[in-house]
Amino acid sequence: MRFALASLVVVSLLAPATGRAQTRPSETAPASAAPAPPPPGKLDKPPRLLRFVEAEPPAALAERREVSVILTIDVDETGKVVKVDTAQSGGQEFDDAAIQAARQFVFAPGEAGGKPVPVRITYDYKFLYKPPPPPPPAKADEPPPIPTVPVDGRVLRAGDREPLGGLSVIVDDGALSTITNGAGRFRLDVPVGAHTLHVAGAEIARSDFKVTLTAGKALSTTWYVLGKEPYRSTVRGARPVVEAVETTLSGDELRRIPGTQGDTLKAVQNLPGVARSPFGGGLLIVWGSAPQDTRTYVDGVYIPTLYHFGGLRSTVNSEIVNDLSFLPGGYGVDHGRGLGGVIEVSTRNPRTDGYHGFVQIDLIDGSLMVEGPLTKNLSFEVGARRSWIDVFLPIFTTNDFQLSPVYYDYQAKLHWRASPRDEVDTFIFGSDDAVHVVAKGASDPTLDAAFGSHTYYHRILSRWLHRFASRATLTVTPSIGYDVPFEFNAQLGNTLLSADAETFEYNLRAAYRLPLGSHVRFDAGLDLEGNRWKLSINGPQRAMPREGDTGGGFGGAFAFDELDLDQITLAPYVALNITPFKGLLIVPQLRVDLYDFRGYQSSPDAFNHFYAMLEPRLSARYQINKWAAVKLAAGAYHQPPDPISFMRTFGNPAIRPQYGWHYVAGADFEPTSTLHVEIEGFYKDLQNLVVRGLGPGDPPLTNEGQGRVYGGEILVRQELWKGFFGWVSYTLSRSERKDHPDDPWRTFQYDQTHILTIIGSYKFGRGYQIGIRFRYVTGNPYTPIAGSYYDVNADQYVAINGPLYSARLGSFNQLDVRFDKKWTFHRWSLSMYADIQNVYRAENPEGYAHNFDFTQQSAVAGLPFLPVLGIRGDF
Amino acid sequence: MRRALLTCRGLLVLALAVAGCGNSFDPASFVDKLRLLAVEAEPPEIPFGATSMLAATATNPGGSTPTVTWDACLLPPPPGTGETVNQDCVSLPEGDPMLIAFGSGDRVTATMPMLDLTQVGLPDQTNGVYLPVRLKLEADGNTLTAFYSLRIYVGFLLPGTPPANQNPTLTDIVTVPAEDAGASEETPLDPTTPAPVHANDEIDLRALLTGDSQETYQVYDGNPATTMPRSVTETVKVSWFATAGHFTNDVTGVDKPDTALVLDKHLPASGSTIDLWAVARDERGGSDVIHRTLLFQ
Repeated sequence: MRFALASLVVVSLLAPATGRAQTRPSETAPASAAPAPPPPGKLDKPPRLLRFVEAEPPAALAERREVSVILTIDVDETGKVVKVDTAQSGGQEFDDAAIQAARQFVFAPGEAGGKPVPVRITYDYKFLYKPPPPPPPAKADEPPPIPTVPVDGRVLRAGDREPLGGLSVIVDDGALSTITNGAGRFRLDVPVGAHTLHVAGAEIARSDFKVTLTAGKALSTTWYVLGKEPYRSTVRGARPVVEAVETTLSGDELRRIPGTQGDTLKAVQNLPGVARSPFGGGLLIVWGSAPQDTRTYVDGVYIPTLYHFGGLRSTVNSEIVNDLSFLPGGYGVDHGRGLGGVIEVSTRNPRTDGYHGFVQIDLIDGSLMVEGPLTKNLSFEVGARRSWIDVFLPIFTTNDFQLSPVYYDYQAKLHWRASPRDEVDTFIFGSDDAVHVVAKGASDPTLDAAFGSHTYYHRILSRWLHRFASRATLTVTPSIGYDVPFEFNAQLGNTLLSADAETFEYNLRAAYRLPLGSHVRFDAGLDLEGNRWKLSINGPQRAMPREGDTGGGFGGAFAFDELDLDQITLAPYVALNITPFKGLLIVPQLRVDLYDFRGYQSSPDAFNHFYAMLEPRLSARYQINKWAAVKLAAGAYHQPPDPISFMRTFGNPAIRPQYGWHYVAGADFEPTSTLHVEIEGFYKDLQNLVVRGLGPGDPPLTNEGQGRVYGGEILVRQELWKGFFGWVSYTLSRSERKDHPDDPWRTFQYDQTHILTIIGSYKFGRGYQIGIRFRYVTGNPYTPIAGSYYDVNADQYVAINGPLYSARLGSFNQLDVRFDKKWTFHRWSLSMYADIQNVYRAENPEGYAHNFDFTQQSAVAGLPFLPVLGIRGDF
Repeated sequence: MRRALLTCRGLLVLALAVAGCGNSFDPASFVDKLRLLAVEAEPPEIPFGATSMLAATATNPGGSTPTVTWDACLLPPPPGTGETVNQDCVSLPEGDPMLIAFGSGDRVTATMPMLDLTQVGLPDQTNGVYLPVRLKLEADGNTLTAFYSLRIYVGFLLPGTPPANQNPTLTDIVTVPAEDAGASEETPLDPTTPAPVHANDEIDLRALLTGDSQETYQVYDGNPATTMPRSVTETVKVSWFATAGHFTNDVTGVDKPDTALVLDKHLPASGSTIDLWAVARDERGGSDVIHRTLLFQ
């Protein structure tokens, strides 16, 4: 059965001679089929399609009959296609086929003022099903044809064996030619004899293949060609609501940022608005909020920790990450329960063009992954990673001090195309960190200590996407999980300490989108999270540190408590995406957060608290012209207390949710199709923050805290262009807290006034790539020591603190460099990298060490020069 | 879920501190200024209304004898911090209504006031509650503030009415020919005739405790109402102090009783004496002190 395609080009916006701009596809109302007329005096000629490439139609076309995929295509001044994005999806497989084909289009460039200019066009790629044509009638008086031999070929990229569509296959001097389809396949009937077949295209180095054809013997062959610049674009489904501030980064860019050892999710730490974590740890301090205020999601499901051991590696393997969205604040109603930001990790679907995988080894861990098709509609990907620091660390330890950290993580995903309108994913993943420390107090026998710590989480989620005929979509994601945020045991002399927390977690996320005409889209959804916590702590109260605490450790008053806590948070939400006129988008939103907490059931201390909180939010965006837009967002946010806060001995069973208001305003600029500039100003007003009780009669924790955060940031980002990508980000901000109503405002523990990050990476051919990262950050606040007193019983001095966080460490600066070299073979590739942190050995102060009575101090520097070497094989 | 407890990095920092890594400061065992080395309370655990004799071992090398002022502080510790002393007690002036004056001098008699137990905070890991006693030492214009926690006897509230804590007893400081030498090789330091020592000498020392210095007591690892108590033997540690040199082990214990005083720095003039102290402490506020001198030649 044969299929035929028809396409319709719609020029929706035209660019001025000096630049280009268009509202991003995810921000507009559903794309309109009516083209906008060009502004007078602007574009003289639109781009003209010279070469159309036929996409490989998915099998589902036979049932769906007609599928439309609306693309935005950036055509440069030479007529070359430099970028293709999906404006309106027709289904993942149709999107992929259309994009693959469109990237091979060739245009005559658009013109303005008589000169070629880059233009962005909207292109409606329609797949139409046609029955196969009848065979042509025979002509009796024609001479017998020259015998030909069918040549069936497939062209794959060397190294990762990705099929390459849109390539020209030319026989000899061009008498015969064809174009490879989306699966890289072609078919030619070539006369018998010796020939040279040339394979050419924008993405590859031209390759020649000699063949000798014999009558009666068909040729079936597979050719591997060297790619010039492998680049996998990011394709994301449209979000249910519009975000005022959102940075989305693709996996390819993220894997080669220096200082991150190829870990995609560590790239977040280099984005504007993210403060530097002390000692290079993985604390996510976003727009002046505490680390626990920022939530991380994988495919819409919350995970308790993003990094192993506070920043060593992310808990989700980068290879399964399609892209990452970072929302520092003012985000939409589909997220909540946090006063900080949101990090959304989207995983990719398994490849279906064959079996692929990789093995990677470096000084810290080893990982592997395998993926491929199981059936025509079912594909899988499975990966795992395990550290081996514990293997070689004993070389550097002694009998008196032993440290043994171990982590692993795993991911397994099934993707099922259940029907032309339905896709189902099942994803199982998890992470585990364990560390054991044995330290013998060489100078104090009572400090002989043994520690054990174990944290882990596991998730099972299933996601169903259904596309209605009316262009509405429904996504439902149920999931369950089991978390152990901490499981800690220690023995110090005669003292046994323990702290355990575990929860069974169940979630349901559903999102429905319904276009209502061309100016309005209705979104609705449900966000449910449930937990059954079991908490048990036996130890000193000072072992539960909070922001604003100073000093402390093991000793002092001892406490014990156990709590079974049932926590359900349910949040229905609605949003209207309104486009009253072209260029303006207004999104009024409402989320209703319902919290229910129950604890100490069947005891005199039983409690049951229910809260219903409205969270109105609003975002708006106005496209001023082709390359500039302004935006704003404001909204209410709530955050439930962490479970330990409900413990009667360490916290307060009557503790209430925290809340805040976010205000964001800014502008976006796109001088070119690959250069983006974003500027934002932000303000956050935080109330009901959980803080220590003040005096006698107060419970250990109260809701008397307040916070305020204000500042601005700029991000200049160059997407991959001629082998280079990078960005410069700068944030100027101030974060303050007031612990009690009569207290003065003070600096927040992680406040950093200036945060500057410069990242650049360049591929200069033959598999070589180099990248740099430079950071300059204001030093972290610390609490100066005003004096001390001698604790006779403990035989130690205790610091008397000055005003909380009233002093600041010296500033931080560091340069990291990364080198990559890749060798590409036919069926596999080999990569090696060196990621060197702190190239010029800056001695950045991370804190102070003091003598025994706090009358002397010396700075403690962070990590010194640190090289990490790695090797990887892909097939 | 907040990662409220120690992360791997926090464990690493603590472990390094335990292992004594990372700085070049003089240790606490070197005494060259106004210092309080110990407070002995006899008895070290008393019920409400009972009295205890408190004695301070203070020193001010090369300076005048320090004066000591004693007060009990009734300010309760801040809630939820687990602290046993409210830091505001440091700056309370004499005569403040939250202070109970016990007098001045290196020895005073303290009477345990009648208190609501909720004022003194939660018990420590030995199930003990304490009255904070503030000491203000002054000498030559310098001031040192210290707190000694006098244990309050509440054994009548616990199952089995356990006995009150007693002080450990140091019998002597001896020299040994080498670490782990037998008892027959011990040579007591004469309290009346200082032993001669020289630069770069390494003097192996040992503090001797009586056999009953380590008492046993009960602790609860969890809810006392639902948890069986665990019997533990006190950990008695001996802190060493000297006015010259440095110790190979600043703190020793019953299982590791030996240290060595290495006279490689902070040496006095020839013919001067070097003061040496050993202070034994248990986990519940009990202590004992022995002082000896060495003659530097």
